[in-house]
Amino acid sequence: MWFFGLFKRRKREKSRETAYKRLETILERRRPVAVTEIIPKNEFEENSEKIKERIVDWVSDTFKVEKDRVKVEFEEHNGYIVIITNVLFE
Amino acid sequence: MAKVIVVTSGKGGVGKTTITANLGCTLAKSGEKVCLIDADIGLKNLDVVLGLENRVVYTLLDVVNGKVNAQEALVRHKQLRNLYLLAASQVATKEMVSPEDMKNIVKSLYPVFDYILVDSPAGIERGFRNAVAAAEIALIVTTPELPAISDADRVVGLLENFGFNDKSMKVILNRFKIKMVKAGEMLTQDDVQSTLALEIIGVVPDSEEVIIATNKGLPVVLNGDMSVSRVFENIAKRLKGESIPVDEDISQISEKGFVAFFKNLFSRKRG
Repeated sequence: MWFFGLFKRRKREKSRETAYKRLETILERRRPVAVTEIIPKNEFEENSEKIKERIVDWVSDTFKVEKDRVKVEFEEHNGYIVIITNVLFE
Repeated sequence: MAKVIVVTSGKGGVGKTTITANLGCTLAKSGEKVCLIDADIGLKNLDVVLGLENRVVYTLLDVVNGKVNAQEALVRHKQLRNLYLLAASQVATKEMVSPEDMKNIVKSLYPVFDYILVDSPAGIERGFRNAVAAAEIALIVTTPELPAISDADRVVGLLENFGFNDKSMKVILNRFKIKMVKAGEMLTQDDVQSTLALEIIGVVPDSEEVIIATNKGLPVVLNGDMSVSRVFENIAKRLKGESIPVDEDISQISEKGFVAFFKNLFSRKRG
């Protein structure tokens, strides 16, 4: 049987497909996020706990984890608020 | 009034100078009065590709320093009498010229020419900013490879900051290998178009004739591969506003062999 195996054509992923996927990843990372609405700083600060709660609710619901296993933090980078969400899975 | 076009890329070695020379020759062949400006100061090559390196007396830097005016510094092409070159200096650096200088030079050549093509240096620093300063249209040259497309995308972002938009930026896909595309081993023109989200104005095949032409100091459209010449003719027509599908470039590349030989032979005689 091994003899016939020699003639079996191996299916190889075409490099074009790999290149296209890599290109999309490279360019996606670089594309600026389209800002449609800017929330005033004080408004954000006043509601930050509410926002955290809603994120925790959503993540807990989506990933079926306990709420205390979801940790949300806000960080400022170049004038943008980056929301960092940690989920501790079992 | 001239149409001012910058040929740029971001990445080096993708064929900006070859594209500038061949496009300039094609436009001049069609009767337009064309001026090519080499903005790659310090690493000039456009004069070499055009075979004019021994005729350069004054350079762009001489114009900036007020030694001569822009028209006095121009070198006329040997075969195409309506094609001119403003060569770059080899001893100078890009920092010796400012975007404002470039604008002034182009302004003085504006009424004399139909087309002014600026060959941009690689990179995104001063040389690039000089080259794009006076341009209204940007031709972004890329090859179907990741580093070139990635750099082209970066240049698109910078050009947008300079006021260019989807209509004033076009892509030229260079060194396209139809065999590799058919084998699924090279990105297609659609892949490049969708990732850069810009119109592709021409697909130039990878051709050994380009190297031979550069060796001779004659751009390939003046002495070489007919399929490459046709592609440049198509690009020139598209620049003038004619609607020619890019697929025609691809079919030019695909048409090789016995039948294509005779087809080219007869169409050459007609022309």
